[in-house]
Amino acid sequence: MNIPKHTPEIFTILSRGNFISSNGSMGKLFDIINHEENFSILKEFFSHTGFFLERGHNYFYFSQQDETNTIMEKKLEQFAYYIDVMDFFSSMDTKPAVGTRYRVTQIAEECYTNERLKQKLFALSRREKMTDKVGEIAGDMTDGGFFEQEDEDTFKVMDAIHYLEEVISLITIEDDGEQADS
Amino acid sequence: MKHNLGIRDLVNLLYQNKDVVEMLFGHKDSLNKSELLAREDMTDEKLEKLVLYELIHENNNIISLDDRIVTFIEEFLEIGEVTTSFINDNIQSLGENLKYYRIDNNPRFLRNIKRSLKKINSTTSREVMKLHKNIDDTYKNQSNYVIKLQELDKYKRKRDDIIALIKESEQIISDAQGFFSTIIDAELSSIVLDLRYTLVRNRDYLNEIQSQIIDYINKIQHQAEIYKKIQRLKELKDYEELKYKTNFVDVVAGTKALLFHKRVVLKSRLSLDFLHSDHGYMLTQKVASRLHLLRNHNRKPAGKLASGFDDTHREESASLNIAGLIDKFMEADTDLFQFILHYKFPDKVGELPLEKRISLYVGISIDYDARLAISGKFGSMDFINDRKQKQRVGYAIILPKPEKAK
Repeated sequence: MNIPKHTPEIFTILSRGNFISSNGSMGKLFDIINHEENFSILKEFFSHTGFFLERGHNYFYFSQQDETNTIMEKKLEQFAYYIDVMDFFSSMDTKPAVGTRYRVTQIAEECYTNERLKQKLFALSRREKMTDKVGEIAGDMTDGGFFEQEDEDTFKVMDAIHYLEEVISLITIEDDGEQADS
Repeated sequence: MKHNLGIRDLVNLLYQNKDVVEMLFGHKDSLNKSELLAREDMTDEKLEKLVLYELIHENNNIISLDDRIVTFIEEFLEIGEVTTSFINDNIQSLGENLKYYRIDNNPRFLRNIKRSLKKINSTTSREVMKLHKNIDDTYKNQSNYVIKLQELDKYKRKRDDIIALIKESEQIISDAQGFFSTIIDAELSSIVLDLRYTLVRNRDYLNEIQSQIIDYINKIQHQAEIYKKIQRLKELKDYEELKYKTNFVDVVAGTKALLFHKRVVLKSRLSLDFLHSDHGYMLTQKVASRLHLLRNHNRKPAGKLASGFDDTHREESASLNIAGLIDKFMEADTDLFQFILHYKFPDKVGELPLEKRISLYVGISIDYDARLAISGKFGSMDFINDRKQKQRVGYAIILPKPEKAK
Protein backbone atom coordinates (compact mmCIF):
# COMPACT_ATOMS: atom_id res chain seq x y z
CA MET A 1 0.00 0.00 0.00
CA ASN A 2 1.50 3.30 -1.07
CA ILE A 3 0.30 6.01 1.24
CA PRO A 4 0.55 9.51 -0.26
CA LYS A 5 3.21 11.87 1.04
CA HIS A 6 0.69 14.49 2.15
CA THR A 7 -1.28 12.13 4.39
CA PRO A 8 -0.34 13.89 7.68
CA GLU A 9 -1.44 17.23 6.26
CA ILE A 10 -4.68 15.73 5.03
CA PHE A 11 -5.30 14.11 8.39
CA THR A 12 -4.64 17.34 10.30
CA ILE A 13 -7.18 19.24 8.25
CA LEU A 14 -9.87 16.59 8.16
CA SER A 15 -9.54 15.60 11.80
CA ARG A 16 -10.41 19.14 12.80
CA GLY A 17 -13.74 18.64 11.12
CA ASN A 18 -12.77 20.66 8.07
CA PHE A 19 -13.64 19.89 4.50
CA ILE A 20 -11.20 19.65 1.63
CA SER A 21 -12.84 21.28 -1.40
CA SER A 22 -11.60 21.21 -4.97
CA ASN A 23 -12.12 24.93 -5.55
CA GLY A 24 -10.34 26.34 -2.53
CA SER A 25 -6.82 26.86 -1.32
CA MET A 26 -6.65 23.15 -0.48
CA GLY A 27 -7.35 22.19 -4.07
CA LYS A 28 -3.94 20.54 -4.29
CA LEU A 29 -4.76 18.19 -1.43
CA PHE A 30 -8.10 17.47 -3.06
CA ASP A 31 -6.30 16.43 -6.23
CA ILE A 32 -4.00 14.16 -4.24
CA ILE A 33 -6.89 12.36 -2.55
CA ASN A 34 -8.75 12.21 -5.84
CA HIS A 35 -5.75 10.80 -7.69
CA GLU A 36 -6.20 7.23 -8.93
CA GLU A 37 -6.22 4.78 -6.04
CA ASN A 38 -5.45 7.28 -3.34
CA PHE A 39 -9.01 7.65 -2.11
CA SER A 40 -9.46 3.97 -1.33
CA ILE A 41 -5.95 3.71 0.11
CA LEU A 42 -6.53 6.64 2.43
CA LYS A 43 -10.02 5.49 3.36
CA GLU A 44 -8.61 2.13 4.41
CA PHE A 45 -5.70 3.79 6.19
CA PHE A 46 -7.78 6.28 8.15
CA SER A 47 -10.42 3.72 9.05
CA HIS A 48 -7.96 2.27 11.57
CA THR A 49 -8.01 5.59 13.41
CA GLY A 50 -11.79 5.63 13.79
CA PHE A 51 -12.25 8.31 11.15
CA PHE A 52 -13.99 7.52 7.89
CA LEU A 53 -12.93 9.38 4.80
CA GLU A 54 -16.03 10.35 2.85
CA ARG A 55 -16.37 11.65 -0.68
CA GLY A 56 -18.88 14.36 -1.56
CA HIS A 57 -19.35 16.16 -4.85
CA ASN A 58 -15.86 17.66 -5.28
CA TYR A 59 -15.06 17.58 -1.58
CA PHE A 60 -13.82 15.19 1.09
CA TYR A 61 -14.49 15.01 4.81
CA PHE A 62 -14.19 12.75 7.83
CA SER A 63 -17.11 11.08 9.56
CA GLN A 64 -17.22 9.32 12.88
CA GLN A 65 -19.68 6.69 13.93
CA ASP A 66 -20.26 6.85 17.66
CA GLU A 67 -21.80 9.85 19.31
CA THR A 68 -23.36 10.91 22.57
CA ASN A 69 -26.48 12.86 23.44
CA THR A 70 -24.66 16.08 24.18
CA ILE A 71 -23.20 16.07 20.71
CA MET A 72 -26.63 15.42 19.28
CA GLU A 73 -28.04 18.52 20.92
CA LYS A 74 -25.17 20.62 19.70
CA LYS A 75 -25.58 19.26 16.21
CA LEU A 76 -29.24 20.17 16.10
CA GLU A 77 -28.49 23.63 17.33
CA GLN A 78 -25.68 24.08 14.86
CA PHE A 79 -27.67 22.84 11.94
CA ALA A 80 -30.59 25.05 12.83
CA TYR A 81 -28.14 27.92 12.68
CA TYR A 82 -26.91 26.83 9.25
CA ILE A 83 -30.50 26.83 8.04
CA ASP A 84 -30.77 30.45 9.16
CA VAL A 85 -27.55 31.39 7.45
CA MET A 86 -28.35 29.49 4.25
CA ASP A 87 -31.76 31.11 4.23
CA PHE A 88 -30.08 34.49 4.46
CA PHE A 89 -27.69 33.83 1.60
CA SER A 90 -30.26 32.18 -0.63
CA SER A 91 -32.59 35.15 -0.16
CA MET A 92 -30.06 37.33 -1.89
CA ASP A 93 -29.78 38.03 -5.59
CA THR A 94 -26.55 36.09 -5.67
CA LYS A 95 -27.16 32.51 -4.57
CA PRO A 96 -24.61 30.58 -2.52
CA ALA A 97 -23.64 28.27 -5.37
CA VAL A 98 -20.21 26.72 -5.68
CA GLY A 99 -17.71 29.34 -6.82
CA THR A 100 -19.85 32.32 -5.94
CA ARG A 101 -17.86 35.18 -4.52
CA TYR A 102 -19.44 37.37 -1.89
CA ARG A 103 -18.11 40.74 -0.92
CA VAL A 104 -18.96 41.77 2.61
CA THR A 105 -19.51 45.40 1.66
CA GLN A 106 -21.70 44.36 -1.24
CA ILE A 107 -23.91 42.18 0.97
CA ALA A 108 -24.18 44.96 3.54
CA GLU A 109 -25.19 47.28 0.72
CA GLU A 110 -27.91 44.90 -0.41
CA CYS A 111 -29.18 44.65 3.17
CA TYR A 112 -29.56 48.41 3.37
CA THR A 113 -31.93 48.41 0.45
CA ASN A 114 -33.74 45.14 1.16
CA GLU A 115 -35.74 45.29 4.37
CA ARG A 116 -36.41 41.54 4.47
CA LEU A 117 -32.72 40.72 4.21
CA LYS A 118 -31.94 43.34 6.78
CA GLN A 119 -34.27 41.72 9.30
CA LYS A 120 -32.76 38.31 8.69
CA LEU A 121 -29.30 39.74 9.18
CA PHE A 122 -30.27 41.47 12.41
CA ALA A 123 -31.68 38.22 13.74
CA LEU A 124 -28.39 36.46 12.95
CA SER A 125 -25.83 38.78 14.44
CA ARG A 126 -25.73 41.26 17.26
CA ARG A 127 -22.70 43.12 16.04
CA GLU A 128 -23.21 46.81 15.73
CA LYS A 129 -22.10 47.67 12.22
CA MET A 130 -23.80 46.14 9.22
CA THR A 131 -20.51 45.04 7.68
CA ASP A 132 -19.45 43.45 10.98
CA LYS A 133 -22.69 41.48 11.07
CA VAL A 134 -22.11 40.17 7.57
CA GLY A 135 -18.48 39.50 8.41
CA GLU A 136 -19.49 37.46 11.43
CA ILE A 137 -21.79 35.08 9.60
CA ALA A 138 -19.45 34.80 6.63
CA GLY A 139 -16.77 33.96 9.19
CA ASP A 140 -18.98 31.25 10.70
CA MET A 141 -19.44 29.72 7.27
CA THR A 142 -15.69 29.89 6.78
CA ASP A 143 -15.08 28.13 10.09
CA GLY A 144 -17.43 25.42 8.90
CA GLY A 145 -15.40 25.09 5.70
CA PHE A 146 -18.29 26.12 3.45
CA PHE A 147 -16.71 29.46 2.54
CA GLU A 148 -13.14 30.50 2.17
CA GLN A 149 -11.85 34.00 2.72
CA GLU A 150 -9.87 35.27 -0.25
CA ASP A 151 -9.07 38.73 0.99
CA GLU A 152 -10.34 41.05 3.68
CA ASP A 153 -13.59 41.63 1.90
CA THR A 154 -14.14 38.60 -0.31
CA PHE A 155 -15.48 35.15 0.52
CA LYS A 156 -15.74 32.31 -1.97
CA VAL A 157 -18.26 29.48 -1.73
CA MET A 158 -16.55 26.08 -1.50
CA ASP A 159 -17.64 22.75 -2.95
CA ALA A 160 -18.37 21.70 0.63
CA ILE A 161 -21.57 23.76 0.45
CA HIS A 162 -22.98 20.67 -1.27
CA TYR A 163 -22.78 18.96 2.08
CA LEU A 164 -25.31 21.37 3.56
CA GLU A 165 -27.44 21.05 0.44
CA GLU A 166 -27.34 17.28 0.69
CA VAL A 167 -28.50 17.33 4.29
CA ILE A 168 -31.21 19.84 3.46
CA SER A 169 -32.48 17.74 0.59
CA LEU A 170 -32.66 14.75 2.93
CA ILE A 171 -35.14 16.54 5.15
CA THR A 172 -38.72 15.78 4.24
CA ILE A 173 -41.47 18.20 5.06
CA GLU A 174 -44.87 16.90 5.98
CA ASP A 175 -47.28 17.69 3.23
CA ASP A 176 -49.30 20.57 4.54
CA GLY A 177 -50.58 21.68 1.21
CA GLU A 178 -48.14 24.55 0.96
CA GLN A 179 -45.32 23.00 -0.91
CA ALA A 180 -44.41 19.61 -2.19
CA ASP A 181 -41.24 17.93 -1.02
CA SER A 182 -38.30 17.98 -3.25
CA MET B 1 -14.68 61.18 -44.05
CA LYS B 2 -12.99 57.88 -44.26
CA HIS B 3 -9.25 57.49 -44.35
CA ASN B 4 -7.79 54.41 -45.93
CA LEU B 5 -5.20 52.60 -43.93
CA GLY B 6 -2.56 50.21 -45.19
CA ILE B 7 -1.63 47.09 -43.21
CA ARG B 8 1.55 48.80 -42.14
CA ASP B 9 -0.23 51.92 -40.92
CA LEU B 10 -2.84 49.86 -39.12
CA VAL B 11 -0.31 47.71 -37.31
CA ASN B 12 1.76 50.77 -36.45
CA LEU B 13 -1.24 52.62 -35.14
CA LEU B 14 -2.26 49.68 -32.99
CA TYR B 15 1.28 49.31 -31.73
CA GLN B 16 1.55 52.98 -30.80
CA ASN B 17 -1.65 52.71 -28.80
CA LYS B 18 -1.16 49.18 -27.51
CA ASP B 19 -1.87 50.11 -23.89
CA VAL B 20 -5.06 51.92 -24.78
CA VAL B 21 -6.22 49.08 -27.01
CA GLU B 22 -5.58 46.59 -24.23
CA MET B 23 -7.45 48.74 -21.75
CA LEU B 24 -10.39 49.28 -24.07
CA PHE B 25 -10.56 45.58 -24.88
CA GLY B 26 -10.63 44.78 -21.18
CA HIS B 27 -13.32 47.30 -20.38
CA LYS B 28 -15.52 46.62 -23.39
CA ASP B 29 -18.21 49.28 -23.23
CA SER B 30 -17.70 50.95 -19.94
CA LEU B 31 -14.85 53.38 -20.45
CA ASN B 32 -15.46 57.10 -20.06
CA LYS B 33 -13.81 59.60 -22.37
CA SER B 34 -12.47 61.61 -19.43
CA GLU B 35 -11.05 58.43 -17.90
CA LEU B 36 -9.19 57.69 -21.11
CA LEU B 37 -7.90 61.25 -21.49
CA ALA B 38 -6.64 61.13 -17.93
CA ARG B 39 -4.03 58.64 -19.06
CA GLU B 40 -0.57 60.05 -19.55
CA ASP B 41 -0.15 58.52 -22.98
CA MET B 42 -3.41 59.92 -24.31
CA THR B 43 -4.08 63.35 -25.72
CA ASP B 44 -7.02 64.93 -27.48
CA GLU B 45 -5.21 64.78 -30.82
CA LYS B 46 -4.34 61.14 -30.47
CA LEU B 47 -7.91 60.28 -29.58
CA GLU B 48 -9.19 62.25 -32.54
CA LYS B 49 -6.80 60.43 -34.85
CA LEU B 50 -7.97 57.04 -33.58
CA VAL B 51 -11.58 58.06 -34.05
CA LEU B 52 -10.78 59.35 -37.50
CA TYR B 53 -9.31 56.02 -38.57
CA GLU B 54 -12.30 54.25 -36.99
CA LEU B 55 -10.18 52.25 -34.60
CA ILE B 56 -12.32 53.49 -31.76
CA HIS B 57 -15.76 54.99 -31.53
CA GLU B 58 -17.16 57.62 -29.30
CA ASN B 59 -20.75 57.59 -28.19
CA ASN B 60 -22.12 59.81 -25.45
CA ASN B 61 -18.69 60.19 -23.92
CA ILE B 62 -18.29 56.41 -23.82
CA ILE B 63 -15.31 55.15 -25.76
CA SER B 64 -15.21 51.69 -27.28
CA LEU B 65 -12.99 49.73 -29.63
CA ASP B 66 -14.13 49.13 -33.15
CA ASP B 67 -16.01 45.84 -33.42
CA ARG B 68 -13.68 44.55 -36.11
CA ILE B 69 -10.72 44.92 -33.82
CA VAL B 70 -12.56 43.30 -30.91
CA THR B 71 -13.55 40.40 -33.15
CA PHE B 72 -10.01 40.10 -34.45
CA ILE B 73 -8.53 39.90 -30.96
CA GLU B 74 -11.20 37.49 -29.77
CA GLU B 75 -10.66 35.31 -32.79
CA PHE B 76 -6.98 35.23 -32.27
CA LEU B 77 -7.12 34.56 -28.55
CA GLU B 78 -9.92 32.01 -28.97
CA ILE B 79 -12.17 33.81 -26.56
CA GLY B 80 -15.52 35.45 -26.89
CA GLU B 81 -18.83 34.17 -28.13
CA VAL B 82 -19.14 30.87 -29.87
CA THR B 83 -20.20 31.34 -33.45
CA THR B 84 -20.97 28.79 -36.09
CA SER B 85 -20.97 31.24 -38.97
CA PHE B 86 -17.27 30.78 -39.76
CA ILE B 87 -17.63 27.03 -40.09
CA ASN B 88 -20.74 27.55 -42.11
CA ASP B 89 -19.06 30.04 -44.45
CA ASN B 90 -16.20 27.67 -45.08
CA ILE B 91 -18.51 24.77 -45.79
CA GLN B 92 -20.35 26.93 -48.34
CA SER B 93 -17.14 27.97 -50.00
CA LEU B 94 -15.86 24.38 -50.04
CA GLY B 95 -19.04 23.25 -51.82
CA GLU B 96 -18.77 26.04 -54.37
CA ASN B 97 -15.12 25.48 -55.15
CA LEU B 98 -15.63 21.74 -55.51
CA LYS B 99 -18.31 22.48 -58.03
CA TYR B 100 -16.10 24.95 -59.92
CA TYR B 101 -13.15 22.57 -59.98
CA ARG B 102 -15.25 19.82 -61.43
CA ILE B 103 -16.16 22.19 -64.24
CA ASP B 104 -12.75 23.71 -64.68
CA ASN B 105 -9.55 22.04 -63.43
CA ASN B 106 -8.05 25.37 -62.56
CA PRO B 107 -5.40 25.05 -59.77
CA ARG B 108 -6.86 28.22 -58.28
CA PHE B 109 -10.00 26.31 -57.30
CA LEU B 110 -7.93 23.48 -55.87
CA ARG B 111 -6.08 25.99 -53.76
CA ASN B 112 -9.41 27.35 -52.54
CA ILE B 113 -10.62 23.84 -51.74
CA LYS B 114 -7.53 23.15 -49.69
CA ARG B 115 -7.87 26.43 -47.89
CA SER B 116 -11.52 25.79 -47.05
CA LEU B 117 -10.72 22.32 -45.76
CA LYS B 118 -7.97 23.68 -43.53
CA LYS B 119 -10.22 26.43 -42.29
CA ILE B 120 -13.03 24.02 -41.45
CA ASN B 121 -10.49 22.06 -39.47
CA SER B 122 -9.21 25.03 -37.48
CA THR B 123 -12.50 26.86 -36.96
CA THR B 124 -14.31 23.72 -35.81
CA SER B 125 -11.65 22.94 -33.23
CA ARG B 126 -11.57 26.54 -32.13
CA GLU B 127 -15.31 26.90 -31.71
CA VAL B 128 -15.54 23.64 -29.79
CA MET B 129 -12.80 24.80 -27.46
CA LYS B 130 -14.53 28.14 -26.97
CA LEU B 131 -17.81 26.35 -26.32
CA HIS B 132 -16.28 24.27 -23.58
CA LYS B 133 -14.53 27.28 -22.03
CA ASN B 134 -17.70 29.34 -22.06
CA ILE B 135 -19.85 26.60 -20.57
CA ASP B 136 -17.42 26.11 -17.73
CA ASP B 137 -17.12 29.82 -17.23
CA THR B 138 -20.88 30.32 -17.19
CA TYR B 139 -21.45 27.55 -14.69
CA LYS B 140 -18.73 28.69 -12.37
CA ASN B 141 -18.96 32.46 -12.63
CA GLN B 142 -22.42 33.56 -13.66
CA SER B 143 -23.98 34.51 -10.37
CA ASN B 144 -27.58 34.95 -11.43
CA TYR B 145 -28.91 31.47 -11.83
CA VAL B 146 -31.77 32.39 -14.16
CA ILE B 147 -29.29 33.87 -16.62
CA LYS B 148 -26.98 30.94 -15.98
CA LEU B 149 -29.69 28.48 -16.99
CA GLN B 150 -30.54 30.39 -20.12
CA GLU B 151 -26.92 30.77 -21.13
CA LEU B 152 -26.32 27.06 -20.71
CA ASP B 153 -29.41 26.38 -22.76
CA LYS B 154 -28.05 28.65 -25.47
CA TYR B 155 -24.76 26.71 -25.48
CA LYS B 156 -26.68 23.50 -25.71
CA ARG B 157 -28.25 24.76 -28.92
CA LYS B 158 -24.89 25.97 -30.25
CA ARG B 159 -23.49 22.57 -29.55
CA ASP B 160 -26.28 21.01 -31.63
CA ASP B 161 -25.48 23.48 -34.43
CA ILE B 162 -21.82 22.56 -34.43
CA ILE B 163 -22.69 18.86 -34.47
CA ALA B 164 -24.88 19.47 -37.50
CA LEU B 165 -22.08 21.34 -39.25
CA ILE B 166 -19.63 18.55 -38.50
CA LYS B 167 -22.04 16.07 -40.02
CA GLU B 168 -22.45 18.27 -43.06
CA SER B 169 -18.68 18.54 -43.48
CA GLU B 170 -18.29 14.79 -43.15
CA GLN B 171 -21.01 14.28 -45.74
CA ILE B 172 -19.33 16.61 -48.21
CA ILE B 173 -15.96 14.97 -47.73
CA SER B 174 -17.27 11.46 -48.11
CA ASP B 175 -19.26 12.50 -51.20
CA ALA B 176 -16.14 14.04 -52.69
CA GLN B 177 -13.88 11.15 -51.64
CA GLY B 178 -13.92 9.58 -55.09
CA PHE B 179 -13.28 12.91 -56.65
CA PHE B 180 -10.39 13.68 -54.28
CA SER B 181 -8.69 10.39 -55.16
CA THR B 182 -8.56 11.43 -58.82
CA ILE B 183 -6.51 14.47 -57.89
CA ILE B 184 -2.87 13.66 -57.45
CA ASP B 185 -1.91 15.98 -54.68
CA ALA B 186 -0.08 14.75 -51.54
CA GLU B 187 -1.00 17.82 -49.58
CA LEU B 188 -4.69 17.47 -50.33
CA SER B 189 -4.89 13.91 -49.06
CA SER B 190 -3.08 14.74 -45.88
CA ILE B 191 -5.41 17.74 -45.32
CA VAL B 192 -8.45 15.56 -45.85
CA LEU B 193 -7.12 12.89 -43.54
CA ASP B 194 -6.34 15.45 -40.90
CA LEU B 195 -9.78 17.02 -41.18
CA ARG B 196 -11.53 13.67 -40.88
CA TYR B 197 -9.61 12.91 -37.75
CA THR B 198 -10.39 16.37 -36.30
CA LEU B 199 -14.08 16.03 -37.04
CA VAL B 200 -14.33 12.65 -35.35
CA ARG B 201 -12.41 13.90 -32.35
CA ASN B 202 -14.56 17.00 -32.02
CA ARG B 203 -17.73 14.96 -32.30
CA ASP B 204 -16.60 12.86 -29.36
CA TYR B 205 -15.66 15.98 -27.53
CA LEU B 206 -19.05 17.53 -28.18
CA ASN B 207 -20.80 14.44 -26.88
CA GLU B 208 -18.85 14.84 -23.69
CA ILE B 209 -19.77 18.51 -23.56
CA GLN B 210 -23.39 17.61 -24.08
CA SER B 211 -23.49 15.42 -21.00
CA GLN B 212 -21.68 18.10 -19.07
CA ILE B 213 -24.20 20.76 -20.03
CA ILE B 214 -27.07 18.49 -19.02
CA ASP B 215 -25.30 17.75 -15.75
CA TYR B 216 -24.80 21.44 -15.07
CA ILE B 217 -28.37 22.32 -15.93
CA ASN B 218 -29.68 19.59 -13.65
CA LYS B 219 -27.49 20.75 -10.84
CA ILE B 220 -28.64 24.33 -11.20
CA GLN B 221 -32.26 23.29 -11.25
CA HIS B 222 -31.68 21.09 -8.24
CA GLN B 223 -30.02 23.98 -6.52
CA ALA B 224 -32.91 26.32 -7.24
CA GLU B 225 -35.15 23.81 -5.53
CA ILE B 226 -32.77 23.61 -2.61
CA TYR B 227 -32.92 27.37 -2.16
CA LYS B 228 -36.70 27.26 -2.13
CA LYS B 229 -36.57 24.46 0.38
CA ILE B 230 -34.16 26.31 2.65
CA GLN B 231 -36.53 29.23 2.78
CA ARG B 232 -39.42 26.91 3.53
CA LEU B 233 -37.46 25.24 6.34
CA LYS B 234 -36.55 28.62 7.74
CA GLU B 235 -40.22 29.53 7.77
CA LEU B 236 -41.06 26.34 9.66
CA LYS B 237 -38.22 27.02 12.05
CA ASP B 238 -39.51 30.49 12.78
CA TYR B 239 -42.88 28.97 13.62
CA GLU B 240 -41.11 26.44 15.86
CA GLU B 241 -42.48 23.66 13.68
CA LEU B 242 -39.18 22.40 12.31
CA LYS B 243 -38.94 19.54 14.79
CA TYR B 244 -42.54 18.44 14.39
CA LYS B 245 -43.37 18.87 10.75
CA THR B 246 -40.11 17.55 9.36
CA ASN B 247 -37.69 14.75 10.08
CA PHE B 248 -35.04 17.36 10.85
CA VAL B 249 -33.95 15.65 14.07
CA ASP B 250 -33.53 12.24 12.42
CA VAL B 251 -31.65 13.65 9.46
CA VAL B 252 -29.28 15.63 11.60
CA ALA B 253 -28.80 12.60 13.85
CA GLY B 254 -27.82 10.70 10.74
CA THR B 255 -25.10 13.13 9.71
CA LYS B 256 -21.79 11.67 10.65
CA ALA B 257 -19.47 14.41 9.48
CA LEU B 258 -16.81 15.30 11.96
CA LEU B 259 -17.75 18.96 11.60
CA PHE B 260 -20.51 18.57 14.15
CA HIS B 261 -18.45 16.66 16.65
CA LYS B 262 -16.59 18.20 19.48
CA ARG B 263 -13.21 19.10 18.11
CA VAL B 264 -10.43 17.52 20.02
CA VAL B 265 -7.09 18.96 19.17
CA LEU B 266 -4.56 16.20 19.02
CA LYS B 267 -1.63 16.85 21.26
CA SER B 268 1.67 15.10 21.15
CA ARG B 269 4.92 15.41 23.07
CA LEU B 270 8.20 16.40 21.58
CA SER B 271 10.44 13.51 20.85
CA LEU B 272 13.48 13.59 23.12
CA ASP B 273 15.59 11.95 20.44
CA PHE B 274 14.64 14.78 18.16
CA LEU B 275 15.67 17.43 20.68
CA HIS B 276 19.09 15.82 20.90
CA SER B 277 19.56 16.08 17.15
CA ASP B 278 21.12 19.08 15.39
CA HIS B 279 17.77 20.16 14.07
CA GLY B 280 16.29 19.90 17.54
CA TYR B 281 19.12 21.99 18.94
CA MET B 282 18.46 24.71 16.38
CA LEU B 283 14.80 24.65 17.26
CA THR B 284 15.37 24.95 20.98
CA GLN B 285 17.76 27.85 20.34
CA LYS B 286 15.06 29.54 18.32
CA VAL B 287 12.43 29.05 21.01
CA ALA B 288 14.84 30.17 23.71
CA SER B 289 15.69 33.37 21.87
CA ARG B 290 12.02 34.11 21.39
CA LEU B 291 11.48 33.68 25.13
CA HIS B 292 14.54 35.83 25.88
CA LEU B 293 16.22 33.03 27.72
CA LEU B 294 19.49 33.78 26.01
CA ARG B 295 20.03 37.34 27.23
CA ASN B 296 23.18 36.26 29.02
CA HIS B 297 24.13 34.04 26.19
CA ASN B 298 27.75 35.33 26.23
CA ARG B 299 28.26 35.00 29.93
CA LYS B 300 31.51 33.14 30.66
CA PRO B 301 32.02 30.78 33.59
CA ALA B 302 33.26 32.66 36.64
CA GLY B 303 37.02 32.64 37.28
CA LYS B 304 38.65 31.05 40.28
CA LEU B 305 37.52 32.54 43.57
CA ALA B 306 40.09 34.50 45.57
CA SER B 307 41.06 32.60 48.68
CA GLY B 308 39.34 33.78 51.82
CA PHE B 309 36.65 35.61 49.85
CA ASP B 310 34.10 34.51 52.40
CA ASP B 311 35.98 36.00 55.42
CA THR B 312 34.22 39.31 55.03
CA HIS B 313 30.92 37.59 55.37
CA ARG B 314 31.61 36.10 58.75
CA GLU B 315 29.18 36.90 61.49
CA GLU B 316 30.14 40.17 63.08
CA SER B 317 29.46 38.91 66.57
CA ALA B 318 32.14 36.31 66.06
CA SER B 319 34.79 38.94 65.45
CA LEU B 320 33.57 41.18 68.26
CA ASN B 321 35.32 40.51 71.45
CA ILE B 322 32.41 41.24 73.78
CA ALA B 323 34.25 40.29 76.93
CA GLY B 324 37.12 42.65 76.00
CA LEU B 325 34.60 45.37 75.31
CA ILE B 326 33.11 44.96 78.80
CA ASP B 327 36.56 45.15 80.35
CA LYS B 328 37.20 48.40 78.55
CA PHE B 329 33.82 49.73 79.60
CA MET B 330 34.59 48.95 83.26
CA GLU B 331 37.48 51.37 83.02
CA ALA B 332 35.62 54.02 81.12
CA ASP B 333 33.95 56.98 82.70
CA THR B 334 30.65 56.98 80.82
CA ASP B 335 27.36 55.11 80.63
CA LEU B 336 27.03 51.92 78.55
CA PHE B 337 24.91 53.45 75.79
CA GLN B 338 27.18 56.38 75.12
CA PHE B 339 30.19 54.02 75.36
CA ILE B 340 28.91 51.67 72.72
CA LEU B 341 27.65 54.51 70.53
CA HIS B 342 31.00 56.14 70.38
CA TYR B 343 33.29 53.13 70.67
CA LYS B 344 35.66 52.87 67.79
CA PHE B 345 35.63 49.23 66.68
CA PRO B 346 38.68 47.78 65.02
CA ASP B 347 38.93 48.12 61.20
CA LYS B 348 38.28 44.44 60.73
CA VAL B 349 34.75 44.89 62.05
CA GLY B 350 34.18 48.13 60.19
CA GLU B 351 31.69 50.87 61.00
CA LEU B 352 28.67 49.52 62.84
CA PRO B 353 25.30 51.15 62.08
CA LEU B 354 23.14 52.59 64.84
CA GLU B 355 20.76 49.61 65.00
CA LYS B 356 23.65 47.21 65.46
CA ARG B 357 25.05 49.34 68.27
CA ILE B 358 21.66 49.50 69.98
CA SER B 359 21.20 45.73 69.79
CA LEU B 360 24.74 45.32 71.13
CA TYR B 361 23.79 47.64 74.03
CA VAL B 362 20.66 45.55 74.73
CA GLY B 363 22.58 42.30 74.45
CA ILE B 364 25.30 43.40 76.84
CA SER B 365 22.83 44.79 79.36
CA ILE B 366 21.21 41.36 79.52
CA ASP B 367 24.27 39.09 79.38
CA TYR B 368 26.53 41.05 81.71
CA ASP B 369 24.04 42.56 84.15
CA ALA B 370 26.02 41.14 87.08
CA ARG B 371 28.87 43.59 86.33
CA LEU B 372 26.63 46.51 85.52
CA ALA B 373 24.84 49.00 87.68
CA ILE B 374 21.46 50.01 86.35
CA SER B 375 20.97 53.50 87.63
CA GLY B 376 17.23 53.72 87.09
CA LYS B 377 17.73 57.04 85.26
CA PHE B 378 17.06 57.61 81.59
CA GLY B 379 18.83 59.52 78.93
CA SER B 380 17.69 60.37 75.44
CA MET B 381 19.30 61.00 72.07
CA ASP B 382 18.07 62.69 68.87
CA PHE B 383 19.08 61.41 65.48
CA ILE B 384 17.96 61.53 61.86
CA ASN B 385 16.96 58.20 60.36
CA ASP B 386 17.38 56.88 56.82
CA ARG B 387 14.22 58.54 55.65
CA LYS B 388 15.44 61.95 56.85
CA GLN B 389 12.96 61.99 59.71
CA LYS B 390 13.86 63.28 63.14
CA GLN B 391 13.70 60.55 65.75
CA ARG B 392 14.40 60.44 69.45
CA VAL B 393 15.47 57.34 71.26
CA GLY B 394 15.33 56.97 75.03
CA TYR B 395 17.67 54.61 76.94
CA ALA B 396 18.40 53.51 80.47
CA ILE B 397 21.65 54.84 81.85
CA ILE B 398 23.81 51.89 82.80
CA LEU B 399 27.07 52.42 84.62
CA PRO B 400 29.89 50.02 85.48
CA LYS B 401 29.39 48.37 88.86
CA PRO B 402 32.16 49.37 91.22
CA GLU B 403 34.78 46.58 91.45
CA LYS B 404 34.62 46.42 95.19
CA ALA B 405 31.12 44.98 95.09
CA LYS B 406 32.40 41.96 93.33
